[in-house]
Amino acid sequence: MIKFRLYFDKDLETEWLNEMAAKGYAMTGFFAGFYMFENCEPGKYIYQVDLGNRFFSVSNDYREFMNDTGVEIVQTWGLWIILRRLSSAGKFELYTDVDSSIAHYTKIRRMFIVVLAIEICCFFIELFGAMAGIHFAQVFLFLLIFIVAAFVNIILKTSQTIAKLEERKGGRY
Amino acid sequence: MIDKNVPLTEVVFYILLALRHPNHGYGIIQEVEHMTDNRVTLGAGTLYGAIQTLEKKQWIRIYHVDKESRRKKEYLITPLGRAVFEEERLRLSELLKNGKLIEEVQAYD
Repeated sequence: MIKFRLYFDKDLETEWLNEMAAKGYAMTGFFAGFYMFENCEPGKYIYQVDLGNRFFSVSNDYREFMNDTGVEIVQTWGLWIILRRLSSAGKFELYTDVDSSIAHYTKIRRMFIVVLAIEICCFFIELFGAMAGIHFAQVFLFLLIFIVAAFVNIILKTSQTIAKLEERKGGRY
Repeated sequence: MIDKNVPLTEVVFYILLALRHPNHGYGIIQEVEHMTDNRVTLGAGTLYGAIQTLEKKQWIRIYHVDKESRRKKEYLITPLGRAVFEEERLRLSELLKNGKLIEEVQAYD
């Protein structure tokens, strides 16, 4: 089975993948918004999404470490890594304390900000193109407005997540 | 001089403790869960990040890499790591000792 979804929020994506797994559909691959699923026993796997340091790959260190702890790397996409573990091995979480969660979401926000900066550059290039009367530039410009809005939205949402975590950390006094 | 090493986070404290003897990732997770009665669970990402940082700080080192059995990597605390841990232990015992003062019952109410 193949489903098309565009997720900007990794927490919502993780939630959806786990809902699918609970229904008996285990995600096995991803390509540009298309998620591939195979039938599995309902609830066989728990999925998690991580942000790595390399494009479309992980370091040997990371792979070995994950394999050692029973975690399977299902797919890498850009800097994103989709992981799963058999639910029979117990609860599967990636970041279990406030400090590492803050570091994780800060890294995600930084990545989104870099991408947003690139999009804004593209936006101005297309804007000049559109003003020069190039038709496809006008179409792209329109599209870019939506993309930029989506990224601004996720950056704000990630900032809220970080602020909540900071509050929890600051609360320990 | 401001000492930045201590206090340790709970995660770092227990990872260093679990590495008083050679241990691999999964072993660390299990030992810490056992020691704390499942209160402290180490997520794979949390532990991976902490190991990378501690290795960079040279508080732990790679002890052994088993190339045959799924290439399991074992880590061990270094003398520097032990020194930091000891510093934290002193701080904690001071806390415990001073904490006892609260037992001085007095009728202030």
